[in-house]
Amino acid sequence: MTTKMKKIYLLSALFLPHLLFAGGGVDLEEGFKVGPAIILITILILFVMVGIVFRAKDTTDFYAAGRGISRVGSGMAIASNWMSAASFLGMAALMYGAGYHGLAYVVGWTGGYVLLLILMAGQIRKYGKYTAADFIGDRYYSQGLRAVGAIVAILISISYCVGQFGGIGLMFKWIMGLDYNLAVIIGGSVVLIYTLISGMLGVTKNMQIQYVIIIVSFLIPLFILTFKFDYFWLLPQIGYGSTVTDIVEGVKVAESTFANSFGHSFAYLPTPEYAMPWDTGTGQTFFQWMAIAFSLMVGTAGLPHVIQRFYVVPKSSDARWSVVWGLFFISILYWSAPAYAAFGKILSSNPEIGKLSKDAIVVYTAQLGNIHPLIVGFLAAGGVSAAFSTVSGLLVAGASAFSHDLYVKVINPQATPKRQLAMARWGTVLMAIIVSAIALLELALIAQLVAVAFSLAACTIFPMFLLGIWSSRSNKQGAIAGLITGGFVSVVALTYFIAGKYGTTLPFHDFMSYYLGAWYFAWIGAPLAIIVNMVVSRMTKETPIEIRKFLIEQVHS
Amino acid sequence: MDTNKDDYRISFFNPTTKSAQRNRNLTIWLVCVWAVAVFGFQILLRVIEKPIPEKALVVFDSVWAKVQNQQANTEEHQNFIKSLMVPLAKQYVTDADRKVLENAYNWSIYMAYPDSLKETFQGQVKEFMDIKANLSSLDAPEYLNAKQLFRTDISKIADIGEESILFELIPYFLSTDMTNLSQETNDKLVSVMKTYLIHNRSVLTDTSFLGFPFHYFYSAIFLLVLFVGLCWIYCFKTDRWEKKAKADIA
Repeated sequence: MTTKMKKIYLLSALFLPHLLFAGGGVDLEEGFKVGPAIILITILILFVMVGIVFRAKDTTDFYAAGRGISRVGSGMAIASNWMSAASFLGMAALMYGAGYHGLAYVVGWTGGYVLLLILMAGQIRKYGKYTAADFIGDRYYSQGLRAVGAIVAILISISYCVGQFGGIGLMFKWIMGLDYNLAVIIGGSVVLIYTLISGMLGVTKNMQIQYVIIIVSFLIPLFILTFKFDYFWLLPQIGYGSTVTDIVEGVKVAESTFANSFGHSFAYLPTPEYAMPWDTGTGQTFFQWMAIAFSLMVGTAGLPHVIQRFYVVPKSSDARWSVVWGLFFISILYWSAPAYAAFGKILSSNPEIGKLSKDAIVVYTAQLGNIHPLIVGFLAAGGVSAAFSTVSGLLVAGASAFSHDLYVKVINPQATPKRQLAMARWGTVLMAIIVSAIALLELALIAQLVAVAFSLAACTIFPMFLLGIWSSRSNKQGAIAGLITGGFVSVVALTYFIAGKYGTTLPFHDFMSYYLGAWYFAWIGAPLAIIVNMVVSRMTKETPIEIRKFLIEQVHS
Repeated sequence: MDTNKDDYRISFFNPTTKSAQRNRNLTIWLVCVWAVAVFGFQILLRVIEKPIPEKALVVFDSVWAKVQNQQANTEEHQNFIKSLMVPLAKQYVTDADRKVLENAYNWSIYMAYPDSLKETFQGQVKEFMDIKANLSSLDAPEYLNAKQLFRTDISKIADIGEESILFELIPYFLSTDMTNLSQETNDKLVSVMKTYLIHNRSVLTDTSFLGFPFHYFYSAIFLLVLFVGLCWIYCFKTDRWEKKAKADIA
């Protein structure tokens, strides 16, 4: 193609939307999409520019953004950090694939903030440490626990990142028409470069911009869909309620005046299993609903990268209010995500469409709803932003654990700040490589992969934080015993999960896989770890008086 | 929280100062509201729910034994075909269950054809499968024609009106697995139908609120509002207490 021809094509693409999707209207997957690609590249350049302008100048900046972020700004950063590919893409995927069961994730990923706030947020800020491992090492006066805490934090960050890289891969695949594996590698490289350039100060500033992009890109197609399909479009988060009822009761051909982009009518057979609780048709049970909701809630209060956000606000009251703002901003997306699933359900109901990749259902729904390609492209770019915002925070948390908690506090206490920053950057690179490799295996849905990280955090970090703050009786021995218990439950659950994925049947496989599912094993692991911590603490030597004194005078003052 | 300065012990459940007691009470109150609202409601939903079959299952149950023994009359056979289409149209059906349903669907249509046309029908379906396998566009004329042919023929056999959604769906479940009702289908069909056509319902699921089924609204919308509200109450109260404490000290 000559330069002149390229210019003509680009100009045409801007004004003739149908040209933007190579392969025509019926092709949801294939082909390079010019418009969405331009939007994505523009957004990525914006992120990098913001990262450069607000780049980390020293280790304090890198870890905690200089503690100069406002309540609302911090709330937006919390929301952006939280609203990952699992929220943006995975939530609708779960609702689409398992109906009411998916709401366990909606409830679990928001309800945990109540626990986080009333049990921890202010106290964590008052404790005044940079990382989760820092807190564990100091509170339990143990370099060994600090190191284990750092390793657990890295494992949680890796587990969390895997789902995000999967989401980035899916969106890069959709936009650029690339093979999934190549898309994961390219997308992973971009987010790695961006995190390395910016550090957390850039990340925090970016998170505020990312929040706006994520939420706007998510809501615009939803307004259009509810308007187009004649529901109450002024508030689509409520308007889609009638869509859910239509799915349950069905839409007759005579009542259907709309069609999807394939020309299939909006008519629909009654599908109560979409909204009815723990329906046998979805293969999910009441126990699983409860276990998932509980595990995600408790896990929320134990995630290192979430806890770490409270260090970047000036005061403990700011930490508390940033949770309120953060949860409100998060809820805007979580009120909306199920609407995509509901529209997607009806729009893809015709068997001719075949099985769609659930994790991309948000984008497919917009496509099937005949939304303008540039808006769909913006939506996909929003999905990438959601994954980017979380991954960058996770990589910083993981790098902090590696550099600050492992290298400086355990291996080389004499390290200069320059050396420390270099280690943080090497840690980031190493993590990105590991995460990319695991993401290529496509082990589960995005949201399910992320849920593994929550259960892991709930079984290991949460008990140590909860008891570390609220019980001076909890001591080093108790923490070690609790960590071993939570870690053991996690290892057993993940062993059964991985064995199942590779076709190996272990003893009591069905029983263990059901009751210790990889995305909800914390329902038993977390309470067990707490009980063991308390019991062992009572049987062993009391916490040193200087730590108890610190807790009273600094944390609970 | 205990702020006993003599021994520096902290215990959430045994606070000794007034402010610590206040904080503990607020926390317990909020956690109780949170727990009851989230888990209590789901338990209530579980307790009052009843398994309610879809109409298609009721129809299926009434004709299955006769169809299995090949004693069903034309109307019963038609009802059998239509009842099978309902779970077949569902997206949640697993591949294994779909195989069972498709065998039953195709066999029942095959049996409904006059003997003289059975072979022709078999050939048409095989040709349709070939077209589908090599399809480049959903608008391909041979594909559209084949679909229309099946809709016209089978709708007459199964008594499906053009105004019904089932009419549109007729061709999508066709397969060449039609001459026999397999042993697997005989064994599993009833449980497969029950899996997809029985739903847990109650007054909470059947009551409509702002267009939603009530329980769905509660979990998807209300709980999130409640969470934000609980967080706001905690922050508001804690700020007020902190301000008051500072004023008292001043």
